Amino acid sequence: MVLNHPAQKIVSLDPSVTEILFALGLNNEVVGVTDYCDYPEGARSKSKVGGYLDPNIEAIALLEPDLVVTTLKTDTPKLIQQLENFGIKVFVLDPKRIEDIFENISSLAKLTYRAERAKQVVGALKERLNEIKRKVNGIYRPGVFLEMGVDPLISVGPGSFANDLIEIAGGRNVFSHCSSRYSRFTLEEVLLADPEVIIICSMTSDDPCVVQKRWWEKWTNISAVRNSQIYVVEANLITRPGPRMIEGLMEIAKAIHPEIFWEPER
Amino acid sequence: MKVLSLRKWLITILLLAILLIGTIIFCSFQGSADINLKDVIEIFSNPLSQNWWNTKAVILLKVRLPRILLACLVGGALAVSGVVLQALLRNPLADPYVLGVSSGSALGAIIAILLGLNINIGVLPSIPLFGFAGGLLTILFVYHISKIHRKISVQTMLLVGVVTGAILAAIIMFIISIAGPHKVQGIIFWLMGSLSSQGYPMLLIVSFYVLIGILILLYHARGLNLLVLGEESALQLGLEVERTKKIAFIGASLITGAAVSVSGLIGFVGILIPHLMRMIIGSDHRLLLPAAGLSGSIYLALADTLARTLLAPTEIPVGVITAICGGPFFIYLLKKKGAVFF
Repeated sequence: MVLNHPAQKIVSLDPSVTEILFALGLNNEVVGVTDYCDYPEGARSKSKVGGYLDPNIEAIALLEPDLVVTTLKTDTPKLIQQLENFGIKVFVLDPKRIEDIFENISSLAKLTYRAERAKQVVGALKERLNEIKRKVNGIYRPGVFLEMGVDPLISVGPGSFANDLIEIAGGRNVFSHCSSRYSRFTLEEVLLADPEVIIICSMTSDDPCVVQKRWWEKWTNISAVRNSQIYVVEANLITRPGPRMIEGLMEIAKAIHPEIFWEPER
Repeated sequence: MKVLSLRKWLITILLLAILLIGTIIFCSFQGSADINLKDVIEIFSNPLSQNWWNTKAVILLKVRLPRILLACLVGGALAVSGVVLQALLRNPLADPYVLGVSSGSALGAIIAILLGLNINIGVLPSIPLFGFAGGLLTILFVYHISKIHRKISVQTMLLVGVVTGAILAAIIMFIISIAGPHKVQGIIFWLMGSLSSQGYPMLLIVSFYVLIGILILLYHARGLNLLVLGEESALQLGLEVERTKKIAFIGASLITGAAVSVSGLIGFVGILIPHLMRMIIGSDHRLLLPAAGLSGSIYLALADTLARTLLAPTEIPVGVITAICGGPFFIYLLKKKGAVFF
């Protein structure tokens, strides 16, 4: 897909896309976002076009965008067809692994004539990623239990970004052998897997998950609990395939290998 | 209705009680951790030693056992509640959820999830407490709306209950459609039902409500026998009809509310077990009530054990098991024996 001129009005239908567009400096070109696009601050004041699974076609059309960007979902083909009726072009991203983020940033930059900016952004992100990879190369990989949901306990399996992030950050996901991306687990499984690190996902950036941390303290049979290796990471950082995912990776790396990644306060 | 002999009562109850204890012991040995009799003897032979706190002991005593006992309580409560509501409403389709208690509990719990109230009130987590309160409010609402001239019309109550449930379900759907993606996941999982470990304090509270409720209902079993004959006949036979209906309704709702608040919506137990037991032992409520309670306990304990072991380490929602295993068996029995209505 090529645009004859840089897109002037862009609607983003996914929080991760919004974060990429803002990282490319398209603050003014973005005219509409989903109800869930809460980062960066500038995204909050943009026109809302509904949820990211069920955006409102009329609200999108009223903004008269020359480009709509979304990520692949079940209803995406229908959405594309509906928007084409209005002559609106739709660009679809389908990130599956963390490396796809770089590719997506570059291809979005091409459409919006921001190739220079993209080079800087991607370059910086790749550098941080490679630095983390280099630092954990060949060192011991502790077992990690990543807690996505509390009651019932939900964790991540292969195919999820969080699973990749744990592996890249030098850890071993204790449930990497399960069948789906997100699964329920009984407490018995966690006790048996005996993770050395527990990472709790908080739904907001300012929630320290105090109750959940304290809940784990009862289960002293788990190495992570005995050694106080329980950390909190904001869920958005490890589920949104945008530029901030590298920050999420860094948070996870700090939790798994504090001896390497905690820098003394400057 | 055949005359119920004390001997038949004792033998049936004793048999089911033994089966229940057997089930609890059997389920305690099922799971990913390999725990055998030798481990148990080791744990109990020297309770003050380090063994008491090894991983196997913790899994057995603090994770599996409270979960199995919770399954028994919830299963028993749902089955008894189903029996009572089917008799009270004289409707074979009635189940513990028919009067909207479940939707009320669900809404209460969802509001707690939505507000992010993952806090403890005393020793109790807030989500079940909100669930219980929601259920209780719904019961009171349905009861007062159905009361016309100090009398309860069961037909009105059934309609009011169904409509109230539908309204509350619509509100739940609305909340799901506007809640953020992370919270939606929590809500959906709650609605699917789960018996994951709640710990002993919660177990004690639930058992308090459920056992008291079941005892009260048992005390009125004879009244239920008369009620299914029709209210006129029951009145002529000297039953305080309105009082019996009120107690049966509140008792059944109370135990349903307590069960739903800790386990979410687990379908099928409340309709399968009552009909199954009627086919097997007849419809005298003096025997049917306790027998259904015990079988409901056995059924849910087994279903939950399957739910946590079948695809281990992944857990399946227990409601899936109760429906997929119970449904076909129920249809087979209906085909073979025909349903027994009251």
